Amino acid sequence: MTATLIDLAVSMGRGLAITAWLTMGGCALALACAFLFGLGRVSERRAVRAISIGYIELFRGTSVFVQIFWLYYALPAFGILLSPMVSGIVALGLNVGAYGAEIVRSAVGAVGRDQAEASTALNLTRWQSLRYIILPQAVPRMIPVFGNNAVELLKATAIVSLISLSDITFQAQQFRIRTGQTIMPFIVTLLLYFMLYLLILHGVRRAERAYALPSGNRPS
Amino acid sequence: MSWDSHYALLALPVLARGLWITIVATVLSFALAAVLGLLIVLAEMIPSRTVRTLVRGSEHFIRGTPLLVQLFFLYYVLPYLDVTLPALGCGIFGLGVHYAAYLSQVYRAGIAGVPPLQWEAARACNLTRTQTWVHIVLPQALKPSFPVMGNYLIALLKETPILSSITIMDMMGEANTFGDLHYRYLEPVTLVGILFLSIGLLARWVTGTVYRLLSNPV
Amino acid sequence: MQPLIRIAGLSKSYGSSRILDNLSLDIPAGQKVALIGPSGSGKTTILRILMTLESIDSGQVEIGGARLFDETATGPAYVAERRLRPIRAQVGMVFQHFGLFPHLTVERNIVLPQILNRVASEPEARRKAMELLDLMGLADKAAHYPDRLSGGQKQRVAIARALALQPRVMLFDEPTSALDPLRVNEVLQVLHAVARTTDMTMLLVTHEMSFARNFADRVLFFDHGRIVEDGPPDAVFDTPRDPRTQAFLRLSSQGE
Ligand SMILES: Nc1ncnc2c1ncn2[C@@H]1O[C@H](COP(=O)(O)OP(=O)(O)O)[C@@H](O)[C@H]1O
Ligand SMILES: [Mg+2]
Repeated sequence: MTATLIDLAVSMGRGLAITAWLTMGGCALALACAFLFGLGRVSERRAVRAISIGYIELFRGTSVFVQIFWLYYALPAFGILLSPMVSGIVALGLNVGAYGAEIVRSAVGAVGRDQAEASTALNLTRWQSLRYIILPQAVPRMIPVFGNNAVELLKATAIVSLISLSDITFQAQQFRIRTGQTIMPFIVTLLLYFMLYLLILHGVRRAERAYALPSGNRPS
Repeated sequence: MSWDSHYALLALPVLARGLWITIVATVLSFALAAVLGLLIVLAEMIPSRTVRTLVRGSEHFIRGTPLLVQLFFLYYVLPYLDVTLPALGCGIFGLGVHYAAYLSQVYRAGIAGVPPLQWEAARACNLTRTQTWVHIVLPQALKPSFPVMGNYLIALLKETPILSSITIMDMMGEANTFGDLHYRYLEPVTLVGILFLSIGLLARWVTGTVYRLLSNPV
Repeated sequence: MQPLIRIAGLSKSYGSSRILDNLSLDIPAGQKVALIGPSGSGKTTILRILMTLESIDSGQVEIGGARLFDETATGPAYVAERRLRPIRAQVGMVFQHFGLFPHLTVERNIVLPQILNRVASEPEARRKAMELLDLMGLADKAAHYPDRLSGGQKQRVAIARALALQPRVMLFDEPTSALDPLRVNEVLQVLHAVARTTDMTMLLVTHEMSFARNFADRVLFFDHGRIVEDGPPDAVFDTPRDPRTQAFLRLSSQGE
C-alpha cells in the first residue's frame, strides 16, 4: 500500500514538472504571438494585417487538439520531426496566442482615439505613442482575459499526454495501467490541475493589482 | 514526401462517417450544457449558503481541470461504481457538464444585465417569483446571451476531437485510425483541420443569422 | 514676407458633403487668429489638417515653408513620417475634450512628451512643467491624476503640456466649450495671458465672441467650408459685410 502511494507520489511529481514547463513555455509563446499578431492586426500595412488575420483565423478555427496531432504526426511528412515537448509548446502557444491576439486588438481598440491624436499633436512617433500612451492603458484591460487564456492553456496541456509526453495525465494513465487503480490517480490528477488553476488565478489577481490604472490621488 | 491527393480522397468518406459522430456529440452535449447551465444558475437562487458555496465550488473545479482528465475519470472510474455508459454517452455527458460550467456564467451575466427596475415593475404588477422569472427576467436575460452561447457552441465543437481519446470514432478518431492503418497522418489530420475551419465558418454564419433574425423578427 | 502657414486650394468631403471648399489662407508668424462660425462649418477640420490628423482631397498646406502633402495618383497624401515630424514639432494643439493621458500624473503628462521629443532632459523637463503649472495656477495638482481634476483644470494642464514643447503655432479647438460655464473664465484668462506674452502664432476656434475680439488680431468667419469674412476684429464684429456673418453675430449676441 505505502509502496503504491510512493509510486503515485513520485510519478505525479515528475508529471507535475512536465505540465508546469509546458504551461509556462506555452504561455510565453502565446504572449509573444498575442502582441505580435494583435498589433499586426491593426497595422497600417495591408500585408501585415492580412498575415495576422490569416494566423488568427487558422489557429482559432482548427481545434488545438488537431494542431497538436498535426505537428507531431503530420509534420514529419515534410521531414520535420519535433519532440513531443516542442510540438506541445508550439501548438499550445500558437493556438492560445491566436486568441490572445484578438484580446490585444480589442484592448488597444478600446483606448480612445483621442489618445492617439493627442500623441500625434505632441509629436510622438508611432512607436512612442504605442509604448508610452496606448499600451499602458490597454494592458490592464488584457490581464484578466489573458488569465482565462492561461487557464485554457493549462487545461489543454493534458492533450499532450496523448502524444506520449509524460505529464500529469500521462502519469495517471500509466499508473492506472500498472496498478489497475483508477479512482485514486484520477482524483489526484484533478486536484493537481485544480491547484495549478488556483495558482494562475492568484498570479492574475496580483498582476491586475500591479498594472491597475491609477485613479484618484497618488499619495505624495 | 508531400501531399498525396489520392490518399486524401480515400480518407474523405471515412472522415465523413466521423463527422456525423462529431455533429451528434456537439449538438447533444451543447443541449445538455444549456439546460444544466441554467439549472446551476437557478440552484444558486436557493437561499442557502451551503448550496451556493457548493455550486460555485463545483463550477470552479469543472472549469479549472482538463476536460480530458474529466473524461478519463468518467470512462475509467464509473464502471467501478457499477455505472455502465457507452463511450459516446460518457463523452456527451462529460462535454455537457464541462460546458454547463461556462454557460452558467453566461446566463449569470445576462441576468445581472436585466435592470433592477424590471424586478420592481414585476413586483408592482403583483407577479409571483416564478412568474417574474419565467415571464420577465429570463426572456430579457437570455436574448443578449445568444451570441456568446454561439461562441461557446463553436468552442465546444472544436473540443470534440478529445472524444477520440476514449475510443469514440469521431472525425479525429477516424483520422487517427486511418493514419495508423497506412502509417501516414498528414492528409487525414490536415483534412480534419480544414473541416473544422469550414464548419466553424459555417456555424459563425448560421449563429450570426439566427441572432439577427431573433433580434429583429420579420 | 513669407507667411508661416500657407493653405492653398484646400478641399475635403465626407461622402457627398463638402467640408472644406477650395479654401485658401495665409497666416503670418505671430498672428493671433480667431476662427468663428456656425457649427459644422469646417473650423475643427482645418485645425486637424494643420495637426496632420485629417486627410484631404485636394490642395496644399505649408508650415514654415515645408509642405505637408505630396501629390500622388490618388490625390494629396501626407509626406513621409520622417519629414512630417519636424513639421509637427512646430505645431501644438489643444483639444475640445483635453486628451490628457489618464495613466500619467499631471506632471508626467507635461514631462513625458518633452523627454520623448528630446527637447529637454528629465530635470529640465520637470522644472519646465512646474513653471508652467505655476503659471496655470495648478502647482498643487502636479502629483494628481487627470480624473481628479475639473474640466477647467484639465484644460489648463493640456495647455501647459502643449506649451512645454514650445511650438511656433498653437491650435485651440473650442478649448472652453466642454467646460462648466463657471469654469470658462479660468481658461480664458490663461489663454489671454499666453497670447499677450508670447510671439507664438495662434489659431483659436471659439464661440466666445467677446473673448475672440480681445484675443485676436484677425477674425475669420467660416460658413459651409468657406471663409466668408476675414479682417481685424473690430471690422468683422462691428461692420460685417456678409449677411451670413451679420445673422450669425446677431444670434450669438442674443445668446451672451
Ligand atoms: N468623421 C466624419 N465623418 C463624417 N462627417 C464628418 C466627420 N468629421 C466631421 N464631419 C462633418 O464635417 C463637418 C465639419 O465639421 P467640423 O470641422 O468639426 O466643423 P466645426 O468645427 O466648424 O463645427 C460637419 O458637418 C461634420 O458633421
Ligand atoms: Mg468643431
